[in-house]
Amino acid sequence: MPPILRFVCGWLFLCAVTVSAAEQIIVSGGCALIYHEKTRPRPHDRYWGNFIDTAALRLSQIRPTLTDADRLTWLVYRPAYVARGREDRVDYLAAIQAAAAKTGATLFWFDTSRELINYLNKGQDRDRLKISRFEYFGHSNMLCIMFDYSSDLGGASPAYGILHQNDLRDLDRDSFAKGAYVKSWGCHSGESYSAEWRRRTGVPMIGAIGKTDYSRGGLPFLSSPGGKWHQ
Amino acid sequence: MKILPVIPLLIISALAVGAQEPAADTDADPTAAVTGSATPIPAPAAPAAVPTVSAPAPAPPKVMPSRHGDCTGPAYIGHRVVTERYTEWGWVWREQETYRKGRWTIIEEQPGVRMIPSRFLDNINGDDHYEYKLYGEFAPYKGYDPNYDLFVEVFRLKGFEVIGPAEPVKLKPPLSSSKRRGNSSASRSRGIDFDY
Repeated sequence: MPPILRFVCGWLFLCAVTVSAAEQIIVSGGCALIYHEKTRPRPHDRYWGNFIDTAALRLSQIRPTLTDADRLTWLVYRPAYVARGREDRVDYLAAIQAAAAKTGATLFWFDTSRELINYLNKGQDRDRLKISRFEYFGHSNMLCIMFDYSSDLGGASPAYGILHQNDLRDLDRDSFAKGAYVKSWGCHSGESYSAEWRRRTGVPMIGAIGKTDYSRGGLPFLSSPGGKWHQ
Repeated sequence: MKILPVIPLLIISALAVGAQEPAADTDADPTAAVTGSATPIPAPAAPAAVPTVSAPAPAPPKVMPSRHGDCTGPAYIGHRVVTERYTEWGWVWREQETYRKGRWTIIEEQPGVRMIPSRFLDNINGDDHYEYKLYGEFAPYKGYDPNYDLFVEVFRLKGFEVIGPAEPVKLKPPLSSSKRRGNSSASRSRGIDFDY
């Protein structure tokens, strides 16, 4: 093979490897019911769309950075928005679908954390389409992210609506691309959850030390004295 | 003699002019009107007896119904326990069992349809150590208490009957999962900081 042809073939091979397609995933947990929260000392989620607006904003920021081969996926915990929609007499599922259409993301509903895990592991051909980004907007504490908080149960979560750090063993670490960007925008994830995520998946997760605040619009910000992002 | 018919007209005119004068002028600062000062005019003194506007009557206290919802099928005894940070409702055991078999439980409600008893009170924590006959069943899934990293039973409430106040049961809520795993840091023994 002439040297020039060998060079071109090598260059093309390199391009195929480095410009491989990837999936970028944003996950929105659910909002609480006012019915449950109105009697609590510090009610959450007076606004239903805390985790929807922020996710939509993030999707719109990510969109311009994608290659044609990349996929942009938005996974939303459906039961909480059905329940809150019933409470507020508003079709929030339609509102979320409209938001997804604006961002150009492919929207998937999930009703249990098991469905989310299944999607991450097998929702795409993970040999060819690795996850290069995973960001979470929703309720959390230091040990657990809660897609369902104070929706089905007041001040609590059904076990099927959480992803506890003990459940991270069910994630297939081969699903994630090397160097994937992972971040939880929930409270306290950086205090334990992100370390366990890294141990289980091999991918670092950025999480908050302290609380995050969604109340001002835009992306959530650190709201505890001394709070910081940590991985 | 020719002016006599005019006198009544003058008297009527004088009365009319007097009626147009504001009565309050006697209490006002005369200099203000003359000089056009920007100083606020003091309000007239309040009369000795100010009539009070009666406050609206307070809403009558809410009353818990003695029965609510579907009270058919197997019954359980529910002992309400109000705790500072636990999310759970209290202890629940089968009617034919003793409280020692009680399970630390979260109640699954259906807003506006199947509600815990204290939803009918002004204070949702106003029924500490009340006992009820609960109708329903334990759910096939566990509930997660984020304040204590605790997985507990969930009772699907159909209805209830009020039994009344009771002595506290001699049961202690379970320790958090984190504590059971041997992590005894102070923050965890107090519960887990939880917010969004």
